[in-house]
Amino acid sequence: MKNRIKIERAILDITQEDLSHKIGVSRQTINSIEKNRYVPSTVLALKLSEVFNKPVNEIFELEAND
Amino acid sequence: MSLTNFCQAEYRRLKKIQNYQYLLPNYFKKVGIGLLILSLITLISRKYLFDDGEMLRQIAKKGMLLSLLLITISKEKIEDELIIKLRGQAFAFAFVAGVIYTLIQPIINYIVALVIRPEKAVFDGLEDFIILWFMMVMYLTFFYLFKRYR
Repeated sequence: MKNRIKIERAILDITQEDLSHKIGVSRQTINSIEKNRYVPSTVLALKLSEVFNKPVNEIFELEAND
Repeated sequence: MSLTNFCQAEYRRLKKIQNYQYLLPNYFKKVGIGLLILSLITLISRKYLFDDGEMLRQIAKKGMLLSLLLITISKEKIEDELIIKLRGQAFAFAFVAGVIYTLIQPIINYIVALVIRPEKAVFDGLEDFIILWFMMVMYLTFFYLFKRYR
């Protein structure tokens, strides 16, 4: 699964640390999600969508092997 | 009570157990580390301080298990969903490693004893302390490795 978190963060001009505080996870978790090492839960995906003010499917995208 | 009501009550009870927050606050990790150091000091120093320190040895061993349990079930500073996932994976690995260790280690001990002192070689099981200690150390090793490379 691909994601646009890094791009969305850049648009809002916030760091991983800022984003982690906003959604209540650690900075390392944000890093793992950005690097596609961890697929977040629906709850976390919805929190991200709330922060970025975009639907979840605009932030996360399925790949052919998913 | 009808069978349906009984099943629903059982289901609710099971959900309650499933959702039970068994983790301790983060500061218990420090308590655990303190107790672990104290247990280690007691285990090492009892030989030099007492003639027969068997009881002290047993207490120190129990203290060590308790301290490892406290470290194991203490929350991280930020206990998020990724940490919970890593915790589950580390528990699974530690459990499997513990079972394999319990099965293989007595055979290794026996073979080594056969080579070194064949007259005293006895095929024996492992002490409960060793198994529990091994499983908790494995859990902590896997958990901190997973956490580091998450």
